[in-house]
Amino acid sequence: MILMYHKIDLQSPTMWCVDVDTFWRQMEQLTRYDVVPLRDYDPDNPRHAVITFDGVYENVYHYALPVLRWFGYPFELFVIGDLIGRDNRFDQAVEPPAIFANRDQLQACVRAGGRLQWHSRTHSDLASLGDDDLRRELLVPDEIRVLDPDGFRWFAYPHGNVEGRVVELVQLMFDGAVACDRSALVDHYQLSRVTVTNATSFAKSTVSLIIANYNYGRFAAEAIESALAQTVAPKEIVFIDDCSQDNSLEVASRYKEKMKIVRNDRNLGIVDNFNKAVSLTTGDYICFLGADNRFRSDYVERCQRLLDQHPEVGIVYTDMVLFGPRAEVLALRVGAEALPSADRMFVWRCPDFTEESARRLASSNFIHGSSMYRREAFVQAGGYTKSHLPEDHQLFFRMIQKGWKALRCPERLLEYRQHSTDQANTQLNCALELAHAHQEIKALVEENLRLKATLNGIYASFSWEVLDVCRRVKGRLAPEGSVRRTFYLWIVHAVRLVSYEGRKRFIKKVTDKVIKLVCPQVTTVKERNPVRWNVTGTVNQHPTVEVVIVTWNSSASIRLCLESVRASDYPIDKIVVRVVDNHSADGTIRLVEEMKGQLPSIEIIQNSGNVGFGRGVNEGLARATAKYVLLLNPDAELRSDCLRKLVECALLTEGEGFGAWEARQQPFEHPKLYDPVTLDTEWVSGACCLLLRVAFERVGGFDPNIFLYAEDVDLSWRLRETGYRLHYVPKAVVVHHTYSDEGAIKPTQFTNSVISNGILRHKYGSLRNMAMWYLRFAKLLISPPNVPSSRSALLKGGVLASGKIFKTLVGRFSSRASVYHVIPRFKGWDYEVRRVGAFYRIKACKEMPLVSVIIRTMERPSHLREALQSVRNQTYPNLEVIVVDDGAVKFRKVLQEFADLVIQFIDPEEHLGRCRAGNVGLKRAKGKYVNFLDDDDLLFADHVETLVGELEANGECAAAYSTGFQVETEWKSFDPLQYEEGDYEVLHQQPFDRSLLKTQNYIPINCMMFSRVLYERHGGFDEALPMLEDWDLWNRYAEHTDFIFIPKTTCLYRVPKSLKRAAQRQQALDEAYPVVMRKFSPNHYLDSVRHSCPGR
Amino acid sequence: MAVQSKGDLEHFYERPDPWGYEDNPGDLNRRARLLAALPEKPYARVLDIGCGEGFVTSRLPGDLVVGIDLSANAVARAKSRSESHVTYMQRSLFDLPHAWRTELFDLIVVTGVLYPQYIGRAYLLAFTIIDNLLKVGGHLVCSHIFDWYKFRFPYTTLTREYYRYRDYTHVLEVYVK
Repeated sequence: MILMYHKIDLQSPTMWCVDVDTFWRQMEQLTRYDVVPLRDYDPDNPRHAVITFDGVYENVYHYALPVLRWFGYPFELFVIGDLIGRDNRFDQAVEPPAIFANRDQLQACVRAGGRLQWHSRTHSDLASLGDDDLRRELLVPDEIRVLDPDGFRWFAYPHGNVEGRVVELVQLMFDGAVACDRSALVDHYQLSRVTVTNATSFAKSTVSLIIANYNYGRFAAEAIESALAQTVAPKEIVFIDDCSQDNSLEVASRYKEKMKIVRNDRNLGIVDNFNKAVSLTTGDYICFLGADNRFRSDYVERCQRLLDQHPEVGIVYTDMVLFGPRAEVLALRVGAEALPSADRMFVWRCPDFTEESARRLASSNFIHGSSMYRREAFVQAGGYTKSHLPEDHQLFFRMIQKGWKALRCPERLLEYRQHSTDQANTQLNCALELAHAHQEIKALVEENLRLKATLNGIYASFSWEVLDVCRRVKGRLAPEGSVRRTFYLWIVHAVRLVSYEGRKRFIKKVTDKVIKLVCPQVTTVKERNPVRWNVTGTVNQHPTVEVVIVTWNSSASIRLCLESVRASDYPIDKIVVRVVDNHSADGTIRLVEEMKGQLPSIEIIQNSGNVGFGRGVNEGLARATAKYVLLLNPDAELRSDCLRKLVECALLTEGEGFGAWEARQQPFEHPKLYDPVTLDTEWVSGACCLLLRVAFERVGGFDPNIFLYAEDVDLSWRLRETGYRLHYVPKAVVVHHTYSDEGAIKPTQFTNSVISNGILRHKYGSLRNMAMWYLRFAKLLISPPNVPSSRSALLKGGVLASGKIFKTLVGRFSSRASVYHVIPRFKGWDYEVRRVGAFYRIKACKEMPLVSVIIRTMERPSHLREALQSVRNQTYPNLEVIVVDDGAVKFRKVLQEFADLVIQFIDPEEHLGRCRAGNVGLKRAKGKYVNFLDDDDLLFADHVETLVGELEANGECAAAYSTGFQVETEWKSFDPLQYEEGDYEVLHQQPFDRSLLKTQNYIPINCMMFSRVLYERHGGFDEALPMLEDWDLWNRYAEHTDFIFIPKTTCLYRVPKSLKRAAQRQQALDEAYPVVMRKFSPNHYLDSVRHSCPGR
Repeated sequence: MAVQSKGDLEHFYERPDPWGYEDNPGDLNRRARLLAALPEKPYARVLDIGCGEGFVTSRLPGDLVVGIDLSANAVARAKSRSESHVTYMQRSLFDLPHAWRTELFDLIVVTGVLYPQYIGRAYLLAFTIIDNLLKVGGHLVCSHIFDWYKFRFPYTTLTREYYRYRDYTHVLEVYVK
């Protein structure tokens, strides 16, 4: 046979290219043939093989030549004369680009045993040429002939086209010629060739490798790995387990895709087990590997070759290496010599197989059990049998008695472990198990993330909410196996006939229609007027403030509350306190009266029953005359400057249309959303809130229908409906002891919230809002939360609520107030958007180290202004701001509006780009901690305070991050700044996980605060990166420190709202992703081609 | 998976120590393990295939140490190291059988080279080339990320160690020819 190769390369992109490993194995298989030059080739001799290459491509020189030399084969190179040293332009339409070997390379091939032959001058279609052109094509020019004076006696037809006229001429000019696959014909001038591809094999036999195991789980991984890593793979690998009691199967099952695993139901013993194993295999040759031993990686290659080459030989046995803790013992006994420079390893050389040694075999065995033997010999000898001799010795002895020869392979191909049961060298196998476990964990973490995302999507859907009630009803009403259950299943099947999407669309259509009828949507565009934020400084006015406190059995806290009022740094004579008591039975009144000595202005109003919070305040306010009223809960304590700050803020901002100012609660800040720039909020809590009395009166005070909870939400919405704005004052702090523990549920709070929520939904909500309340109420009744007697309380509350709800509905439709400008948002039992982290406790820090906030900006002065305003609103006092203005036009003048902040302005002369701008900022930072804030992102007022507190409390960690809202934003205009905002969403709430950080960035840049030491030691942004530079930085820092995760939303960042821009942004991110990934997470090299990796 | 082109590799090596070996605890560990696992010290002639900037090469104990790497940028930077007994050369593993006449080596070290993204499917050729350069009785030391490297040389294994490296499992092999 004549083999036709074209290209040999590292990979095999097309069938004309064979990869190097495959080529090597094909050459190995040819050792069973006589590889001859064309000159000596006899087409009738089935042992003859000729290796030919057409072209001849440069990669043949690079990759095939060393292999051919290794095996010592002659080979034929059919060169195309005009293409020597050129490229393959002529067939690039179908084949990837490739270069032809040049003259030097061809000469090197000749020196290595190659023979140059002729493949025409230009590789054109010879049949279509005239006689002169044809002759020219066939003629070998002298300057080429000198490359191999003995060559160019043979010709290969271009494109394999054999045409009579061409053949005639070839017969005149050459000794012989080769074509392509022309199987039947044996003509010296049209010799057939086999087109060799990656799939071609010249193997003459197959091998079955059996790994026999009994309680060798601690070694098995090594044995299996050694079988899988054979240079020439066996046809099959069978792992047979003779009913082990250890972890063998678990170990083996990790390789179940690569080998067959068989487990015996009961222990068969060696003989039956081995016979069974052989019966399960089909290979021509068989070898056993004990699960405690190892094969060298060329065991199969060498033994199979010897059996192929020697048909008279039935068994090939090898030398071996003894290793393991007891290797020395056996080595001494059998006279094995120590392997130089190895730790307790010995080479046991076996005698050659001669007549003399064959005789010796009767009494002492030198053919080890892992020798490779012929199935034919095995069958003739009758397989393994039970006897007084070891089973393998017996078998080999009988094979030889049947006339088979044995042959020694003088290589140490078997590695034979000598171990005692109690002293096992298992370290290596443990390490292998660990490696597998790591891979499994990695896959599981990714799977987990994916599932979590899917699950969240389901929970967030409307249909889930609706069907959730059904699910609970099902559990209660239709237990497994009942008739009702069957009926229920019918309904379920009927519903399922409509597709999920169809149902979703239907529900949405219906609810949207109804919502539009009842509550027309108004889209609001935020327009910012920055002139009005420029209101800082102190005011030296102290108008009278009336403090209204409604008490009911408040003896535990009222004293502290009143004392905190007295201790305020606000002039005491400007404070009037009015306590409205809802008929306490615990002596609250007595305690209040005792306080009269310190606070002479206290006035007490006593109610004859508990009328609720709202009514109580209404009564208190009915007597008020002052401009400002402070609502205060009896379980709250004012910080000494709280009242002063509230009043100052009120005086400064009243002209902006504000009607209420709310203090920040501690230790648990109320999680509702506020505007980090203007500090507008959608509703104010009644716990501690300064009200403009006029405003309160104009909206008619609290709704007396609502007993407790959410009355402040109702009031806030009406204030906003009337045109007032509500102001959050984070710098004024009140300590509110509302919860004893994080996340505690108080029974009265629970039922009252539910009922208030119902009233509010009927008062302001759409039909859908209302319907959802009934659904949720039903859900609560079916499975109430774990609070004592909550179901009866709920039922009672429900009856009570029905009357109030009816009244509310009548009131709503009779007053034509059914259409609102303020669109209330209901979130479950809550209202408006919430920030994550309601129960996060800010850590107070003793020292207030300097914090640098770095703002990168570019030609967006309005954005910069907003970012700076959010920094100005920070509750943390010790800040510096570094503004890196990277635009062509600089906006230094914006800073003049922020003279009260410490600002460094950097205006580089050339455009730096994001990363360099960031590094310039880092270089100038002086703070102990650094926080980036891009110009379109914002910080909530407590961001710096929260993160610094955590960092100072945990000295070991040098970085901390919180969560941030992702806000879809569409910019309508830059000057004045106008934009439309979509949903506020917290995308990542991921506790620190170093390896996860390598696959995704769950830390938005402004959420992160890190110690400047990290920058000094490990550098700033990688300036080569186009995007995702922050992700790269986090990963580099994560190598050196843990990050603290703070489960609270303290900032927001913007993403494009319009689909087009979002797609552009996504594309840019997708392009940057593999670039960054390449740097630190090379395991994703499979995703992105053309990758390199560490460890080099 | 495509094989990385030389152009890409050169681009990658435009900046110094692109993998960040010099101060990474994982890399310091793998080098310490490799040096500790060498069965004889010193060797007369040592070859390091894929030497990069000489992170491992510069510490190899040998009268004569040769480091080769495909990247000219990496080799240029390696040459600026001060060790006098080490010679660095820009060469591909696959150039060795063609363009180099040299004596055999007592120790050959291969770290992080034999991955499909570098050598495609040419493991047996790599073995052939290395075998032509290694003395009988000489040692071959390979240090690779286990997940990507599934080849075993047909030599007797003296030691094999698995350990954590960055986010991977690393395998260190010492063979004797």
